[in-house]
Amino acid sequence: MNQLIIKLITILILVFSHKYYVSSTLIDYSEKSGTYQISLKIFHDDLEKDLGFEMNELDYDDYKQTNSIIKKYLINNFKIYSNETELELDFLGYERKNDLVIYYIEVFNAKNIKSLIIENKILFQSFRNQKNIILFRANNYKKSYIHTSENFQSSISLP
Amino acid sequence: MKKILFAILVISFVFPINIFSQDKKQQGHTNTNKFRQLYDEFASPNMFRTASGAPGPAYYQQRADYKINVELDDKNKKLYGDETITYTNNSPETLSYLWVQLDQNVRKKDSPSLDINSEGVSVAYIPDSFDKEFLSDPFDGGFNIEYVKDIDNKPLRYIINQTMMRIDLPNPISTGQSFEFKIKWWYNINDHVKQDGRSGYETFPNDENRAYIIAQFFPRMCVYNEVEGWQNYQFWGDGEFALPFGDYEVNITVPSDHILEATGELTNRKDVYSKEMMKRYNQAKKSYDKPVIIVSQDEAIEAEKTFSNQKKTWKFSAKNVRDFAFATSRKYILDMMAVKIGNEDVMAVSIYPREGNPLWEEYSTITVVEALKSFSKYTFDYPYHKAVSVHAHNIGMEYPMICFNFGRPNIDGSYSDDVKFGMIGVIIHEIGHNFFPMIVNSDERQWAWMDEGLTTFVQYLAEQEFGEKYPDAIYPNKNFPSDRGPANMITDYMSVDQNYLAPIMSNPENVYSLGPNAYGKPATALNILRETIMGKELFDYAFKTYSQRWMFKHPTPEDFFRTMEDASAVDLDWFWRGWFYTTDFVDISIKELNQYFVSPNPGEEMKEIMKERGLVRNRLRPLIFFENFENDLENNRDKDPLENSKLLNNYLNENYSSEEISNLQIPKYFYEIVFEKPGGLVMPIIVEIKFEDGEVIRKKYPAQVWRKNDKEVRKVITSDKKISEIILDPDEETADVDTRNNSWPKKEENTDFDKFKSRIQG
Repeated sequence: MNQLIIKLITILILVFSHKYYVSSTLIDYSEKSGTYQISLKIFHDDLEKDLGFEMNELDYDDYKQTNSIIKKYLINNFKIYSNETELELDFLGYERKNDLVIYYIEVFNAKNIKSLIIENKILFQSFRNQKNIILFRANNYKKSYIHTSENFQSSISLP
Repeated sequence: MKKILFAILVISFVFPINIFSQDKKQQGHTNTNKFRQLYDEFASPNMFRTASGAPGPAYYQQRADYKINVELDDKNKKLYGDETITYTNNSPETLSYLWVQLDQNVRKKDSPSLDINSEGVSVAYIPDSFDKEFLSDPFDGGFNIEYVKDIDNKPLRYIINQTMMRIDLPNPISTGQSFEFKIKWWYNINDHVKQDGRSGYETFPNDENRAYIIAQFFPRMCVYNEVEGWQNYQFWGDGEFALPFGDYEVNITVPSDHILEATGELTNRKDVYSKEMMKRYNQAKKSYDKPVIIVSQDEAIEAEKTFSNQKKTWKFSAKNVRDFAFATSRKYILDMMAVKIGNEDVMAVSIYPREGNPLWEEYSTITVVEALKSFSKYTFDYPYHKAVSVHAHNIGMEYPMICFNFGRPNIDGSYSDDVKFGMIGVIIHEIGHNFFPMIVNSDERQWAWMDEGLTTFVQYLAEQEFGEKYPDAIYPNKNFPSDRGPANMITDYMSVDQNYLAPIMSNPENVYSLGPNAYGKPATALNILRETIMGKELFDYAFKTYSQRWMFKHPTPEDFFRTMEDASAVDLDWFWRGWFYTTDFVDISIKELNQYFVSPNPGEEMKEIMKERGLVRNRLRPLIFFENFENDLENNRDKDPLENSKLLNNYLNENYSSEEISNLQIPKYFYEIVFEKPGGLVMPIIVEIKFEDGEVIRKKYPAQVWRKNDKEVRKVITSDKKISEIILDPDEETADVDTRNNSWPKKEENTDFDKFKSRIQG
């Protein structure tokens, strides 16, 4: 833990206004639907770079094409396991909000899941100082994690 | 509250012994009230800085005047310079040494700054990261000091410690005395695109030309004051600059085909401008409605084709500035437009390579104009004669009168809204830095938020005003899409794991992410103060007072905090403590709503108390009874209260005339809202209450409502119609991190996720 904190004392921001290499992922258990509702927030330019695009080259208005590119990327870089099996994720799609791309993912039949492993490797290829924040909420249970390029898995055991 | 008091009285009457007969006595505690005075965090007010937040009668500041000659070697990417610094000691102390900043040394091969961060190996690398990480030689940067001499050319003793140089004075200088000395240096200019940095050059791949944005290029005096003594915090990379004011005479020699802009007044314009440029410049001086092109794109393209071996010297004179920077390239296009600020003409200037067009020609200069107007409105009239926006790839950085800004279209000239709004936003921000910290000269090395937070806050106001002025530019948005300022945009950051948060009042080197910490959060805090806590009128006056008091001076955080309170009569100790000195977040919720009516008989709760105390109804003194909706078995809740309570009816008849009674608004329903506060921050409680007939009212309870119970408070709403819905913080103006518990009845959660899902399925 200490080591992780020390690693975090890094420059998360370049000199100018809004550049700091952080993505955030909210994993919310929905009582209503018995699913995990996941929203990944990524700075669009970071994502584009990791996808191998030049700045602003990705056409977000071409939803179908862009969605399939991002989806393929996330399938490889964002995984959830439970009892040593990879869970099936439903990649719903993305939306743009300011300089963010928000990607929505759902995990069905989550009601009886008691332990899970979140693996999030997004952006580490391009940004060594990337931090991916995971916030997990299920009923009253709340936990957050920070993933780094060396440490990109978290196991969660529900009480 | 009344109910609780009543309950306490009842309990203490019935079980008095329990309270005083506990085995273990309770321990005392120190003051932990969120509203306690902030004296423990504040420096004591004194003759230098008063308790009102103003400069005191003994306030002083040092002065540093510079005469600088620099020459750019465009072929070899080196900068050569010599300078004469006149340092004036206005402090009451005698100084026996001076400290000079050598910021370029942060790029020395053996700079400790390179080793300050933890490192690790990634699972995979893209080739250019791999190259940068493992293959490239470290850049051979940093100042090469050729001499440090006094005015009679006698060498002065000096020692360099990282990014700072101590010069030992032959004779100490006492109050009012000046010391003149000379330094000669050169350094290799860095590629700011490949190696990062706030300054450097960019090479353009197609024509091998370079654009230079040059800053921190000369040894600069450190600040000496009564707060820090000499600045003794090294430049590690994040904490920017603390600099004294002074006058600058700077001669810059560059290839004769370069176009150049810099801090200060160009004193030999006729020598360096062509006749045609002079003509257009004179037009621009009177052009208040649109920019005048001084050097066109075609002319710049023509200039790119050759590389002059001739030299030209541009001479600048700047009065009362804290720094100096310039930008130079044969690639530059130049345009200008005049703007009236107060009674003075200010020139808004843009220079950019053709790679910035068509975006820059269209938006840069008008953005400078709007930024100057908005910032002047909230602070003071912009006091310099010009403000320059330079286009540099991927940089946003500020210097007096000149700033470097990103925002580059695609190669084919197309650009997304993001690029456009990013560019307009960064120009507003960096132009705004002229006010904070170039003029209101806070110590950036110690406190990034004092300039970044205040600038980002006014930037938000300026962006919104830009949107109002140019609705076509922001179409189809109705408002400028600001990404910092509104309260609900900081909640993600404020709810991350506490291990990775630092208070705003931290040194910029020690925070986990400087963007939200020094820019977003303080800007949001000020926006909340303005819109929700103080109100615009009180806030704006106090903010302006701070700006004007500390114009051309060196304020500290306390000077800001104190002035905001002093000029508004709003005690904000609790706000500063919570928002600036802790990592607490806002989370207020509606725990429950208890609904009562006036009932003919004692309600269930009353009955319980009567039972506990052995009381019977006919022994009670006459009381008006309340009952909870839940226990309303006889359906009395909708009846007239006067019918339900004969006692109340009689009381009114005895104390009021019938006319008065008919004018009384006798409430039928009594609602007790229980607010809970899981979050550590104190905020006003703002509720929107909807009634069954559709009427909507708003109630705002001051933050002080939490002063005697930090966890839970109750508020009573009375009405003659039923409440159908209550929404806490309906406009999302308090930065509440969890809005799932902000309504009654509990709403089926409609998260962004739900909204998105229903949209794509809809």
